[in-house]
Amino acid sequence: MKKKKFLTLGLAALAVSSFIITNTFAKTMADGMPSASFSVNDNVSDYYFKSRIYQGTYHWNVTPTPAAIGRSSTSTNTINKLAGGATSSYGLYAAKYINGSRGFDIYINYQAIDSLVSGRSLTDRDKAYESVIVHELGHALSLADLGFLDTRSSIMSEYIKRYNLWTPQQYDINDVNAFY
Amino acid sequence: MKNGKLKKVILSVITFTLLTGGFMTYKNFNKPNVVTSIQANYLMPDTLNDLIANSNYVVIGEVLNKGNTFKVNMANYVVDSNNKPADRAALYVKHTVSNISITQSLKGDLKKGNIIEVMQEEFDNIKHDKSLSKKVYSKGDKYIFFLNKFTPKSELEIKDYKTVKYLPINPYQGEIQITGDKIDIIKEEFPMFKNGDAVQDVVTQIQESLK
Repeated sequence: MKKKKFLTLGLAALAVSSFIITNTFAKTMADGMPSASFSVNDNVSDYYFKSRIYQGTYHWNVTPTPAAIGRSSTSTNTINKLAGGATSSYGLYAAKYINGSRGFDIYINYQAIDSLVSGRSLTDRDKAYESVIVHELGHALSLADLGFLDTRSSIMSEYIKRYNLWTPQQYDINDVNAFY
Repeated sequence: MKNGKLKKVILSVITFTLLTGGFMTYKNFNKPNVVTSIQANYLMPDTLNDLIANSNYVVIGEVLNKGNTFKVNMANYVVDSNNKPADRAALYVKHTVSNISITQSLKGDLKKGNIIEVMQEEFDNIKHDKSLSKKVYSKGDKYIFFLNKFTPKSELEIKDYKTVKYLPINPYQGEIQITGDKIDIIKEEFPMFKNGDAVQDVVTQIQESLK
């Protein structure tokens, strides 16, 4: 009889604990950051790239959302300049765990973007880089890519020419506000 | 329930929660720096003109062999960074290289009879748009390819890729499969064509676009 009671109590404790743990940690299991306030590592020697990182974070920070993206030379959330290697992607967002916490690495493919803006103005080049950085930071803010052919105006759209749209749009702002 | 029993239940719950939480924290701190998912941003043309303009080579070809695969850590190609390499998790792209025999060249300097290596890319744990497909070529498959040339230049690239490769414009729109004399597509990937369009009609449209 005592054993049965002990087993029942144990199972009840397990159920309650599982419920508490699941709900407490659910948000951090998403691919984005658990909070809209985080920093990125801008410790790069290329001044042009550093300026684009600054602009990319600025474009998010001025939106009416909880997004507050700081820049620091010690953050383990890295934004990297990719020069070489064979990938057709403009940008990559890699969600990771580092020292037990959710983090990310962003890779910006210089060759692919420079090829896209070849023959276009320097302003278009700036916008294209910022657009890819803002898009990848959108993933850090838990936004998913928009489906191909989804015509809503969004920085998370895939088929846009990157120099035509480089700031978060209302759709993106709404989603960030809904998530955080 | 008596007070004594209630205390036991509460104590059990608290103990179990603390133990489980402690174990999870310990487990997390001992995790290697590992990538758990990847989002890749590609150029996705929605018009035929853009599809062709962004492909240096448009050719029709047949797959001669099922490709071999190898992995490359893209994190090795980071430049101008002063952050600690240890802070970046390894980011592996899996490449599949297949030999393709060209049967017709529509754009670029490749010729009928040329055999090229086409290199597909795939990331582990990538989050794909669910409406899009990801194919791996098989021997005997026939495709219309939309490609760009990749020539290894640096020491690292030569070590990783060895020889000239041709890359599909992106993992979804780099090729249109040919079945018989018709094309076999997913509408969401190629809004400029219809599934079942005659290959000859598609070729004519491409040639018209190139004029």
